[in-house]
Amino acid sequence: MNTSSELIIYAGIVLFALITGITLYAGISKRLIRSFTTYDLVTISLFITLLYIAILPFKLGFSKFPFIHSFFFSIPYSAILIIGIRLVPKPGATTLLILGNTIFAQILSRGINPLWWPYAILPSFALELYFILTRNYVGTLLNALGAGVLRGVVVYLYFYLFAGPFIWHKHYAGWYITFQVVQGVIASAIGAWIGFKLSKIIEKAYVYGRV
Amino acid sequence: MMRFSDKNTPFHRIDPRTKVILSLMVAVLVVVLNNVLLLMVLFLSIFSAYLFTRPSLSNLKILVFMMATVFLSTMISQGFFYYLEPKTPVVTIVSKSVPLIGGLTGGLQIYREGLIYGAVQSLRLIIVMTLALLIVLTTYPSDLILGLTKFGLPQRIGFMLMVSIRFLPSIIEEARRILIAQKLRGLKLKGLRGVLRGFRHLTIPLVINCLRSGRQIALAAEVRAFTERRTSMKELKLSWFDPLVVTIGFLLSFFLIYMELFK
Repeated sequence: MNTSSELIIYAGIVLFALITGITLYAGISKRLIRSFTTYDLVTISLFITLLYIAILPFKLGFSKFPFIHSFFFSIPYSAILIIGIRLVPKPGATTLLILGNTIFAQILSRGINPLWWPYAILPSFALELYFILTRNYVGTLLNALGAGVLRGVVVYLYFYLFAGPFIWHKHYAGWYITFQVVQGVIASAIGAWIGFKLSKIIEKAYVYGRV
Repeated sequence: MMRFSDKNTPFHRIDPRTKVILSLMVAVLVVVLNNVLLLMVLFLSIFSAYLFTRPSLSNLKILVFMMATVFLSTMISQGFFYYLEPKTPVVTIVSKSVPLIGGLTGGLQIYREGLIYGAVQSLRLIIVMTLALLIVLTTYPSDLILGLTKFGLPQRIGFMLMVSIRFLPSIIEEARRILIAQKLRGLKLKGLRGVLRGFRHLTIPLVINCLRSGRQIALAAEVRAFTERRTSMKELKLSWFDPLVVTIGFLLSFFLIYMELFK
């Protein structure tokens, strides 16, 4: 089998998985989304914007730092994500936040590109499953840290082991992948910890402060 | 730079749905194509469409700068991580004999074949980047959301995205105001600790203020009987030009895939 045929097979698998995943997920999300009140939806919209703003400095220059860019990128992102999940603790909220932020960024500045959608769908799916299984929506620090670690593992492993070689045809050495995944996971956990601490204060204002 | 620019060019007049279909086609081609010439054909097609939108000189300069950054960074990274044989080392940065780092990485060398491979692969990213810029420059965000809802995106998600766009400038302005207020109260943002402190002192009031205005928006939507079935002030209409663009896109895609597979 020549390289072109292999590429077509890989591309076929990727696209098939992509379309199946999106269709199944869209079907579930359509039903789930009805459980959100208008205020929940507006709150999620706010967090979609906040997630976009939180990573803006990294688009404007910090992302050029070699080796450690993913570390600084993950901290504010995870922190805002955890606060958002804590304020809307419902199944589907994580997906709306992560996928909504991806589509929002694509509409505003990155252009609609389905190749980046699995990058949002996979961590959303993993986190939704995690929250359902633990029956806890970042209510405890341990749960928040677990969510941070899980997000880091899924996002960075997907990029370096799948999207990098099969979509962008870029290859990385094993030590580099390990280094990036470890720092991504640590940064996500730090972000989750910061997010949890801040969310406690915000939640009090949200629930008791007539916000 | 990456924002809608109101002009009257053929690409501005294309329906957002057609642009979404074109993006899907390019996404498939970017993964499938592996031949340098075919990737160049795809890039030149998109770049010439971009030039048709009459971009400003500053816009063009920034695009060239972004392309150069992607080109160089991909070349260097793939120069390091090239794994196929034969490979000819051009520069040795860390020798295998260097304790710890040398042993851990197996030596850091830049390979000539890797540099060439990286240069070719950077074309994929450049193609996606140019198409993104083309779409963003020529499509009003709310039209793109309307286009996506026509493709089956739930109305409630469309509403969420619209609210997000509406909030963006006010949140940025609010963040700026809070930071100035905190600085006047003596907040120092220097160093890593300063940044972390700043993040804490910015996030809490910002989120609380946003939630407060969010409640007003939700109330306003509720009193207007917000449901899933919505009508729109603006209706998207396909012109004769849209099927033509989609047909050209399909023909080009089939041609490129055919050339990749059989030539």
